[in-house]
Amino acid sequence: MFRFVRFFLLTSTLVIVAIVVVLVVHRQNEVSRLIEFAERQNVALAQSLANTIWPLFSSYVTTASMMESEELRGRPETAQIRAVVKDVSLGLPILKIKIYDLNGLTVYSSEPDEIGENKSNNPGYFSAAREGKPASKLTYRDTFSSFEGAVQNRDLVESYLPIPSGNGSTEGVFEPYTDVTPLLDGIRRDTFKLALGFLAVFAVLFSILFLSVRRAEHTIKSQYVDINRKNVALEREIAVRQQAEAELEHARDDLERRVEERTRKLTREVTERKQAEENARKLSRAVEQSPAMTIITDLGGHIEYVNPQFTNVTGYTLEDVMGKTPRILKSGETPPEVYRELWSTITSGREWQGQLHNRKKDQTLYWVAVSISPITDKNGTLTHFLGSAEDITERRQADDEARRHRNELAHFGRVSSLGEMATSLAHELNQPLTVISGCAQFCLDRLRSDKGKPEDLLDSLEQAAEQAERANQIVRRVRSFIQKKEPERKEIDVNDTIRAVSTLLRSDAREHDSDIALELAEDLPPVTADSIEVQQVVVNLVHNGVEVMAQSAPAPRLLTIRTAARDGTVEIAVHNRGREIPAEDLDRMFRPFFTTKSTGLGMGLSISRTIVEAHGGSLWATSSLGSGTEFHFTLPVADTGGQR
Amino acid sequence: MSTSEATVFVVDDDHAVRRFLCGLIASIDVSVESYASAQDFLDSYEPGRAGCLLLDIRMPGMSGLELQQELDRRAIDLPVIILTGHGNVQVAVNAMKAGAVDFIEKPFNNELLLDRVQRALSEGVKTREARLGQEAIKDRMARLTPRERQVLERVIAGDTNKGVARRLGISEKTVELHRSRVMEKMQAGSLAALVKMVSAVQG
Repeated sequence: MFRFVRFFLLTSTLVIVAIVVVLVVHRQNEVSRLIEFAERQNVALAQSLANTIWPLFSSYVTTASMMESEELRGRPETAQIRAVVKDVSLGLPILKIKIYDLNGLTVYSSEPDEIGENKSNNPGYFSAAREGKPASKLTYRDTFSSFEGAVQNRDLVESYLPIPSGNGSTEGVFEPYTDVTPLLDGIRRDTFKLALGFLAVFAVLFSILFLSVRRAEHTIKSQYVDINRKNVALEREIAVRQQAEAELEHARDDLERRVEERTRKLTREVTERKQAEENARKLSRAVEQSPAMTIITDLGGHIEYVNPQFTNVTGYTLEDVMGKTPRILKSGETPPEVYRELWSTITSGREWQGQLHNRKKDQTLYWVAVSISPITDKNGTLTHFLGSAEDITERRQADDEARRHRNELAHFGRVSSLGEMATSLAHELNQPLTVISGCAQFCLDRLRSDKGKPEDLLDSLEQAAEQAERANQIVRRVRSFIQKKEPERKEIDVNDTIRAVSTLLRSDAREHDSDIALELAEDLPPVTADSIEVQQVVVNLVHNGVEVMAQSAPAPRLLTIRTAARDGTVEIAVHNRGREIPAEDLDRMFRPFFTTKSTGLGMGLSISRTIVEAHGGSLWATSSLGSGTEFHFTLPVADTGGQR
Repeated sequence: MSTSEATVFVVDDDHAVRRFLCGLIASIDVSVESYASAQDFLDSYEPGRAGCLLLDIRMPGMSGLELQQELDRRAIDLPVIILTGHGNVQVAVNAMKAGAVDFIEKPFNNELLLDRVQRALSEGVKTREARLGQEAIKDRMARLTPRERQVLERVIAGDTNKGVARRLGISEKTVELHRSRVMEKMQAGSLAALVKMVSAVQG
């Protein structure tokens, strides 16, 4: 918005400055005129002086340059000049008069002290003496000594005037000091009055203008506000109109998009339908040529389709089985609970996988790996079951063969390690036998010598009975350790398994002057394993350990068996303090027939590793100088949750 | 000293065997102590106690053989009877070489075991007495002055008083004086007894 007041104030300031400039110029003009006037007066005075006194003193002035200032002051001419000058200047505002010769020497001054001064360098003097032109200037003096004595606060016009001779050349310079104070005061007064007048007029004008300008600005402001308000209303109206237009456009776009989409969908549906038909053709060809047997049944289990591979394997054609249930394939070898689990899984909409032992049309038995999954329609409703099966009879036979081979090897390992431990076993059995035999002799002696008190005999017989049980247990352990039977995987507590074999281990350690410490972790999770095979691995590692210590370690020879739960496994560590094993042997020693002993076949560690790996674990060794060798093996923790 | 003050120390890690042996030995009124390991025995044995050691050769930790070596090192001269399982000849030989007085195979005849134990005990007493006697003689000899010792050596070597005097450069009378003081200090009734004593400690 245009700022009237500010603009007005600025303009006023400019006007005031202009007035000040005019006043200053005016005053300057007045002063110049004053000086001019004073100079003219002085020139007239000079002329009269020249006419009156110059003929009398010109020779004195022109010769004065020969004299010293003291001499000049003392000359009678000086006093004469004073009298004349005083006479001439009487009634005039002349305060002082000086006379110079052409060399600038002050020949006369109404102030005697100044006589003899040299003014040749003064620019005013120079103008008058050399160029013959008068020069004047206005000066202000605080105090000034005049004819009448000292005067104060005077404005003076000093004029250097050339004194003309008869032939027109300059003969000297005359300097009168004219008092112009009253005139100058007059000028000041005039100027002041003029300024006052200007200001008064201006102030009146200023006030009137200021008021009217302010009023105008106020009016403009209120109009401006009004316009703004109207603008806002207008803009709002425009916005509403624009929005309406945008909505209209949007609706049009939407319509276009829907039309486009519908067209696209239609195209896609057509393509999909073609694709689906193509896929269905491909799938049915795939099913027909599939190396897996495929059966489709309705929800009641009635067969609707079997593929050619099914006929190849079982001998049943589609006509044979159409409308019948897969029960015709049952051999009676698969336990009924498997079928129950199968049905409960697939009827609840999940996939079932498992192995079934079935019968062919020609009555031969075969194994299949089966996967049965429910088929649902678009709405998720069960409509059919799809069975896919693979004949795994040969694979199972090979697996059985491998397992049997492994079991035999393990059994061989157990028998041979027990063979290696025969001495210590004999010793272990010898202990109870010693007591039994001793007790029997003791009782016999007592009875024969008739000294036997029943309580003595009772104690001995009790000892004998205890030791007979002990011997019996040893024999049982040994027998179960070396019996040949299919390994039985079940959930076992590793600690219990180790404790069960500890008698055997201790007797073996004892035979090698070693001791065994069990550091079994509490609350171990169960593992799924065959306990005899786990014992076999432990026995093997312990037997190796005590043998190594007997060869190389000083007393006390301690072998430590530790168990710990670690990352979903149970880890069993068997540590011996025997000599370290070279790094290159740490893995090599698990190979068959690797041995450093004079006895044994070198199969123990190899068999142990096979056993552990068959359980899904691993077996390794670490060894370091000074701390002996540690064998570790892991067994996966039993999966107790949510098995199908 | 008699065998009644001696103790049989049974060291066997098998509790049942230990219990039976203790019962059997106690039945003939011989004091018996049992230990489950060689270390247990060493820890509680007070030097100077008399008796014999009945030791199983196979034990965890310190074996019977190692215990024998340790006894040697500590100058404990208890007679040792080794118990072994099945007659392992090499083991028995090693044990005997290490100073065992006997070895018995398990299972054993009770009579035989007790007989051997008693024999070992009396042998233990004998060696112990002999050792004590030697120590007494050594003590007495230690009390002789250097001059008396020189005289003793010459006398035992068969020198006459005159010969001794000449050899040592002293008078015969002085030799006689030294000699009677030697006989007195050594508590020897005759020259023959003196010779026997000295040969017992020096032999």
